[in-house]
Amino acid sequence: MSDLRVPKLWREIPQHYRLEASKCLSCGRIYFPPKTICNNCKSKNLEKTALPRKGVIETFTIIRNAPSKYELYAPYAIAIVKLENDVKILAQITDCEPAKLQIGMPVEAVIRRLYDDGENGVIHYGFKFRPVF
Amino acid sequence: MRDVAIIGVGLTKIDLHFDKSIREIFKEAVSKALDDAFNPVIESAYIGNMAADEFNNQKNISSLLIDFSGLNNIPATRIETGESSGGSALIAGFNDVASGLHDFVLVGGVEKMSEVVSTEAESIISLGMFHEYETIQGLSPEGAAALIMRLYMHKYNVKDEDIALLAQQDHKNAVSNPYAQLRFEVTLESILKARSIADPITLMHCAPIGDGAAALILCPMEEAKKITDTPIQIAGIGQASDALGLTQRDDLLDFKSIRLAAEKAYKMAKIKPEDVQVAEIFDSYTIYGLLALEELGFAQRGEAAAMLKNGFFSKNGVKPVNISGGLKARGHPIGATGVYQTAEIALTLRGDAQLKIDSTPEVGLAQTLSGAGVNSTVQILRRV
Amino acid sequence: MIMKPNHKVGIIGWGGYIPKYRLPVENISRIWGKDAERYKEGLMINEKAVAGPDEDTTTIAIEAAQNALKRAQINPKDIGAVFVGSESKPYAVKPTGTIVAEALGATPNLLAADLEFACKAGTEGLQCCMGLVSSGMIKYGLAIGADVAQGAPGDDLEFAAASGGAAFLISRDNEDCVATIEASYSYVTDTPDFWRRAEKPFPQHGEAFTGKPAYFHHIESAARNLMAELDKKPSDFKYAVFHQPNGKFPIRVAKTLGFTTAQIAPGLLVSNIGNTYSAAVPLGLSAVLDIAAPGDEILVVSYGSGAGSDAFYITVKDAIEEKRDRCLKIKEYILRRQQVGYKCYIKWRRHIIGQPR
Ligand SMILES: [Zn+2]
Repeated sequence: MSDLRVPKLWREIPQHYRLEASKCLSCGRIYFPPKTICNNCKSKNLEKTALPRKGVIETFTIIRNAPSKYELYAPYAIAIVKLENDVKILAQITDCEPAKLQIGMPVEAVIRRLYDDGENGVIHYGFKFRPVF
Repeated sequence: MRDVAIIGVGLTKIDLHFDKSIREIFKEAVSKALDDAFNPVIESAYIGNMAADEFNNQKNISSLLIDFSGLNNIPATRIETGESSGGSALIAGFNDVASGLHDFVLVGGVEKMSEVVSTEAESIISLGMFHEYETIQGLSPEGAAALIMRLYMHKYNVKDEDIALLAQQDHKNAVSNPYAQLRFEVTLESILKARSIADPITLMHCAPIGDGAAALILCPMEEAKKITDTPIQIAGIGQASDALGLTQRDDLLDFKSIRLAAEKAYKMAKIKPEDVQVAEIFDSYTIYGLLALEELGFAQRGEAAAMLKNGFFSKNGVKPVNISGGLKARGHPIGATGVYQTAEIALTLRGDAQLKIDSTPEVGLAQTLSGAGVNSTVQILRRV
Repeated sequence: MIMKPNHKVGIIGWGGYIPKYRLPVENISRIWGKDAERYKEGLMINEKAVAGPDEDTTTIAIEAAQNALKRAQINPKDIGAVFVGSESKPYAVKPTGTIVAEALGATPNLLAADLEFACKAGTEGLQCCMGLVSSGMIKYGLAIGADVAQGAPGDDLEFAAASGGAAFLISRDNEDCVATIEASYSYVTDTPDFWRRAEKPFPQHGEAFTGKPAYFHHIESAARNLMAELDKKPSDFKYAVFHQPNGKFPIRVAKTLGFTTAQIAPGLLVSNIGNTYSAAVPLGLSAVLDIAAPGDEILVVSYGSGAGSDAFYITVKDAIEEKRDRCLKIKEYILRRQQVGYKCYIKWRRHIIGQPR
């Protein structure tokens, strides 16, 4: 459907490439993507922090009916990963056979092609996770 | 604040109406509602619609629809809160009447989805998710529901066949609803064997794509009593939002927006969950229906499936749920769905032949939901 | 001409990456009615590493560079230059190096450039970094060779063209360096043995012409000239790494130059992963560093069609012992293996007309 809005994803590069989050200096809560106000204590005093790149699968699905422009990858897995610092992140699980997925599986972040806006479009890269090996 | 009543209900049959425009189906619902309310002079209108921009290449949809419904020049506003747009439109209409600004207000809901192919429809519905952090990863709305369903099954040791009971019950109920899209029964086996969309969600756990429009006429209760013998009071309303991103929530199985919306509505209507005698819940995916039953206080956490199994929520059970056929079988023309649900509860409380049940309930509840618990509305209706 | 930096430079971190997927030669030969044994014996290739559908030269370069950074444990902001050598850039116009630099957190105060010289673009990056670091213009330089190599369906190249990458962080020589790059030697001529015209998807090659006047002449010349300048003989080296378009060429060139099988075996990966083009020699060197001991001397000679060779004389240092285990080794990537069929491979490479991309 909608074509890629280049600036919209360009702005997310620190998060998509390097898992940059924000941490509340008052209560310690970590937000990914980063927030500039803390939902927990309403502090506006937050600083940049990088997320750990390892975690475990909290829940997952295998997408068989892929959205437009993701058909090449189907079937593919998407999981909510609980990182080592308990922050949760939603990501595709790559390099993993669907049958091998399970809740609790250790995974690590990698950078892959996230979205390819057709032959003439921009390629957007970003984090996915894969089983730790 | 004035008491508000529903005095007119207009529904269209949900279907793939290739031969009708969005203008025509909306007008049909409005005409029926006006006739039902003995044709009062409408002063303002609120229309729930999620995506006419994408489905129909049309913005300014409220002006277009009101003009083609013959309601010249009245204030008309389109309300969008994703899949719960219909519920939000009702709340806007309620506020308008309750505040005293207007007396006779039209609340409509419409979605014309069949203009696009299914993959396009999927992309449009996906716009309701967090683009840069969910959609970009290749998540679909079914995928989001599947993440939640797997976690629910894992945490409460519930099987997918238990969750599928809701879809089976919906189909059974839809048979007698003339406005329902899928008026046939299904076996549990066919639900489980259906094509997988996003494991563990099969096609039969999902609401279909369809076109539909629904309309309600609201007015102050004191006026309603002069017009009809069966005014239905909007006794309580509630709305709450939640983080758009699934990972922004502490507990994925906590559909807080439903609970908070319900708490407000119960408080306003001065009732408890057990006082609700009939309900239309929002099962865009069966799992969301189960979570709604729990967050509305009809079932303990993790126990909705067991209660479905013993018939608690069936048409002639203790608390009938989705006698319309629910989103799975009545259909889910997105922005219209919340208006359908409220209309159906109103018809049931009125004892209308088409959505009648054996008991004669006085209090009913309709609940809408957007996405995976992103926004919720709860409407409590009472026969007076 | 021998290239010797005024101030000594060394490798402070190294790392490689090989995709998980493998396409066995039989899966290709069956489709095209060819004899698998001919390729397995003739080219000494059993299977090739294939990039997954969401991988490309950029993603491969990033993981290799992340590994090098894990071993170097330097502040990425101190990297002054990133060179990505490849003949399979995802964009014809738009640098790969900026994406890699951004992923590492090295931006914005650095130089980034993509290099192309068929299969030797990776080693050119090493030479660029040597010069910039030695001169004091930058503190650290990152040289990467990475490819998702192209071979036209049905062409002999298809049996070998593989995916992989390796990266080296170059520093002024100090105790944190795992090896010193003592000297380099480049030898180039205009020899059109293999090429890909602009906007064409697959390379063309001159078959036997890629051998004697091309691969062998350039590698032998660069290796002999470097050894002569340094007064070194083959037996001085513990290891030697030669470009490996197949298994046969590097074995033959080693023999001609006077190297033994034992010297080249640790850096000869082609039988298991295929020809990773710009990454072939960088990956071979990475595999050698994975097992090398302080004091070991290494000869490295790349080859790029068109044509030229870059030779390097490298000596291993003490720091290698503590840095070795800081990231995944080449052997671990080779062992992580999932076989794919030809149809899957063709789909992933987006070769089916009308397929979703
Ligand atoms: Zn805080």
